[in-house]
Amino acid sequence: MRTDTTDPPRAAPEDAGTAVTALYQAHSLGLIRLAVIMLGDRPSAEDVVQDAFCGLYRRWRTLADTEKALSYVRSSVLNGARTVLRRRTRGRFENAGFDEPAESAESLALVSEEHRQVLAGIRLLPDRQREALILRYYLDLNEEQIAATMGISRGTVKSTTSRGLAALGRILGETA
Amino acid sequence: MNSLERRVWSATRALAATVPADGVPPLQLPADGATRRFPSARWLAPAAAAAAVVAVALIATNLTGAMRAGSGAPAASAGAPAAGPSPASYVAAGQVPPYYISVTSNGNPNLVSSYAVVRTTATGRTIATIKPSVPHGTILAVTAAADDRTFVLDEQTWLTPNGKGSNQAQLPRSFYLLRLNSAGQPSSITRLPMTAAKMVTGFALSPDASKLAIAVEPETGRDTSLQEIRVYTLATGAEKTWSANGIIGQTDDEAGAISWAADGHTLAFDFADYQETGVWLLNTDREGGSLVGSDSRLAVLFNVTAPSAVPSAQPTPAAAASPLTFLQIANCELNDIITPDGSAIVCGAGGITSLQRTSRDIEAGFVEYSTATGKVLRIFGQRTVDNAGAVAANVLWSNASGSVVIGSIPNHGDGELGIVSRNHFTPLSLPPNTEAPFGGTW
Repeated sequence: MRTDTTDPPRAAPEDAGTAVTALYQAHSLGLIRLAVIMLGDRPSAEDVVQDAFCGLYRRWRTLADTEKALSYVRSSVLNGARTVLRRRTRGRFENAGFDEPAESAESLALVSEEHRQVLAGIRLLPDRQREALILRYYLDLNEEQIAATMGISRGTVKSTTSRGLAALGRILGETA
Repeated sequence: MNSLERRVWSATRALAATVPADGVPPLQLPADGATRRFPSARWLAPAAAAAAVVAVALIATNLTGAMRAGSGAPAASAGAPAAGPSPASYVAAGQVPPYYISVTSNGNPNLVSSYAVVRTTATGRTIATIKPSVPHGTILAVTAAADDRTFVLDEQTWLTPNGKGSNQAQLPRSFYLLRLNSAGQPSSITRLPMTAAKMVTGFALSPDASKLAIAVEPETGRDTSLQEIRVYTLATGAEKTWSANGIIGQTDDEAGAISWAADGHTLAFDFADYQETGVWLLNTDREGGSLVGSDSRLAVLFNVTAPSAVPSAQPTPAAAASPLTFLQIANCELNDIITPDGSAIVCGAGGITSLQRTSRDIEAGFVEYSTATGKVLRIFGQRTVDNAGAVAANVLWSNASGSVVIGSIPNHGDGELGIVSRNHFTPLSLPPNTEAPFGGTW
């Protein structure tokens, strides 16, 4: 180990535009929808997905197995959404009067009151529980796929999902 | 799929459907491969103008190099503990250790943890930055001995897009013994002989730095949920193993998953078997065997599934300094450590007390349970916070008896890291742009 402060090496870009654009065209809608569920508003969701694909583009040269690209970019979307949520809550407190709504009015107007309550409850969960529930029940991923996306074990996926459902049930006044 | 699962399934799809199939913007790749630095023009709409003001303020803070001191934060909501003495006074009085190590990504993509940063408790000043030993390496977590000079770092190679294997958590770990001199600067870094090739859910260096305990899931990827605790003697490499079916820690390298008492043989570990979660005390002087057998005893049982099922372990107004209800999410099972004198388990807790469409009220604080009776001894450092980003406090260090702890508590978005004594909270100074969740190893 070293104790200097030099930045670590970063992957150099390569001509990967065609491949990454094709991947974007195939999966961007689903990923934007995933990010909308995570963040509640579309502009932020589109930014997160754009950033995720830009990150993939920068690393494309090192991508030996393109089948992993979707899993990689999906993880990036989750990480990006987590960052936005933290930045958003930080901004809310550090700038009095700035009160960005949790869900955009445009999106909320299109879903029922029942769905709004459930979505509000999901947003109250800790990051990992929220992500596990969305990956499981929105994307229909199995435990192994969720584990790969979140970088945790299958056992942890199981416990996190179980605890997330239990917490959500308590929030909504329903037994999980 | 039960009723609740169907509600989640239906609500997420309803929201997803608000994004029309023809509403996807074109991909804008950077011409030079650089990070996309500017947000989309939508962020500059009038409704978000205030956010730009925040950005300008943050940039100004960076330029001046000012530390983000807790005293500059907005006033806490009603119910917040009173402001305590300065961090420097705690350090000067020997009540908290002078140095700590935090793990940071330093702006790396995807929040990849990479560096271990030695800082002073009193001011947050960076003393040294320790980088991984290998390319694409990352330092995931840190554990400390009681002397505040000896630490063990957990290093792993980060899974890149072409990485072999499918699960970051399963990649091999290497452990390094780090010693600091009296000024807090690294004096030696030595690779330890033991490795872990499976999911590590917690690790803890014994108070005298003679033993390293590692919690692992040795059969990650299968449904057996076998969990092990391995205790290594650093001088000899000798290993003892205890195992059981269950879960220790929520995820990899959970800070509060396992912790040592000062006697050097009692190891506290949180353990869940899908029905209930509690803290067990393991006598590591024994030779190994069952995690939940004769070598250990259940000290505290947390409420996970049914609030009324375990009344002895519930915070009650009578036992608390002031009423604290933790209505929906207790979270104690996520974060708990044993006090060095072995008398108590201290956990960070929190709960939502009211829920509205765009806001929520949270009570968060620290709960101390007796290891002798399993009952709540006291609740301290609690506060009520509106719209906090997190839902629970997080305990990171405790003095011998638990009367002074260091931890984070939800407030102002990402929360605050600070020293808690009685009902006083002293925020620690953090460098600008410190990444949440705030943490550190003392």
